[in-house]
Amino acid sequence: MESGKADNSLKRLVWRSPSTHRDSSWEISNNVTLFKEELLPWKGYFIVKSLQDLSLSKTYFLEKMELLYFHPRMEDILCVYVALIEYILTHYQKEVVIFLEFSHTYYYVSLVGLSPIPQKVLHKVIRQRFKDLTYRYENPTLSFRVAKNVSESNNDKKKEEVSLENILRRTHEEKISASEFMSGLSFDILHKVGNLTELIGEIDLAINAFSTQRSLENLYQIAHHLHLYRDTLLSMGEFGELVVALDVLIDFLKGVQDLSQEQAQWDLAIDMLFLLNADFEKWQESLFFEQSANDIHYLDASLLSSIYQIKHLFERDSVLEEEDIEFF
Amino acid sequence: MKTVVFVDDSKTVLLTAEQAMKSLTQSGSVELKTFENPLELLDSVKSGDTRYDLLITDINMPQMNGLDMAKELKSMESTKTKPILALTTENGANIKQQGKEIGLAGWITKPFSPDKLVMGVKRVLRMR
Repeated sequence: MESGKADNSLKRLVWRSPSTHRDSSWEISNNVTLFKEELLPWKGYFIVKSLQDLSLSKTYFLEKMELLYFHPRMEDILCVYVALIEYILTHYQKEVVIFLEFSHTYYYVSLVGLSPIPQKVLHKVIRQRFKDLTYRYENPTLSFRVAKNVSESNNDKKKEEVSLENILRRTHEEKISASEFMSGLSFDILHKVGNLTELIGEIDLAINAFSTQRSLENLYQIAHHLHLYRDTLLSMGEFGELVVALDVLIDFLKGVQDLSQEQAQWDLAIDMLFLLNADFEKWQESLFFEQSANDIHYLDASLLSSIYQIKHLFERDSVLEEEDIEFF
Repeated sequence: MKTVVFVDDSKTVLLTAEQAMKSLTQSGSVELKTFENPLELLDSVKSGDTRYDLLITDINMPQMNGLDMAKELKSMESTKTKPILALTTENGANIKQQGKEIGLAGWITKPFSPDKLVMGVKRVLRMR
């Protein structure tokens, strides 16, 4: 495809039969999607040359395509393609074409023109957003596929168990350094980093209040602030494992009904909560500010393990059954 | 008195370890030192400021992997015979094998019980 030949009138998603395509300078009679499946003879495409076009494309998808609008995964795909095309427009000033294709059972969304994006960055952006999206990439085309049947689409999403094994997978298979991660961040995520820093201070104050006056209300305030931190992490996309670990802690704190027993354990738990918060602060520094971390997921497993250590203070038999010590 | 060094980027884990080791530190049989960064420990060993009888280290840390640090310590004259235990959430056969090849004395999986940790320390240091 040659970028200079695109017809500006096609800056709207248009639906044409294959015969009409002959009038266009775009040769799209062949399938664009990288999924080798039998397609229906209708395609739509939208040429994006500027951020304004990108905004229009998004609006058009959402407003004009009622079927897609109500599809639960389509918004995920919109988020991904907006991030990728923004990157191309901002860094390379090149156009990208969005194609929509159909089969009887699937919708296909393809982006053509992504060749300037390093493959590693591209996969990272997709994982940051929705790691369970079905996609294929062959330079310069990226294709997504979603099932028309919503329940089938939801089955694509495998629910992961909360386990150290799952959490460690990110460190083993997908190691990303802080500097790599930061180089691909969009402005809205950078803005959230500031929120995280503020929340760390609020969590610290809440723990301090609980240490001064041990009441359930103050304990639940810690859970509340941790929840705000968790929500911010979740919105950043990449840190689902930390979110899972925080959920374990939040559920534990919310589940406490009685503070009258186990005073010594609470003394230690308070110290550990302060330190857990300090671990988060250090993680933020090494990731977002110093960018010194070799692996942005280094905290994932140790956080969950620290949280289990806190729970273990109160539930001695609950989580350490699989503990292991081995001598070589 | 034996010196035990812990290296872990998590302050929470270091506190848990300090609590677990209380019976040994309060009796005067063990002195405990902690480092949050493997690079600082290496500097301190190289300059002669830190000597230890047992090193217990995390594996996944932001600035340097615990196994890389162990490899470096095992290549240094002053520390090559000193035992090292891993204390980590890692529990895979492959990574344990890497630890064995580097010369680690053993592997403790997190989360850990204080009793198990003390048992491991005593066994490696041949304490009663």
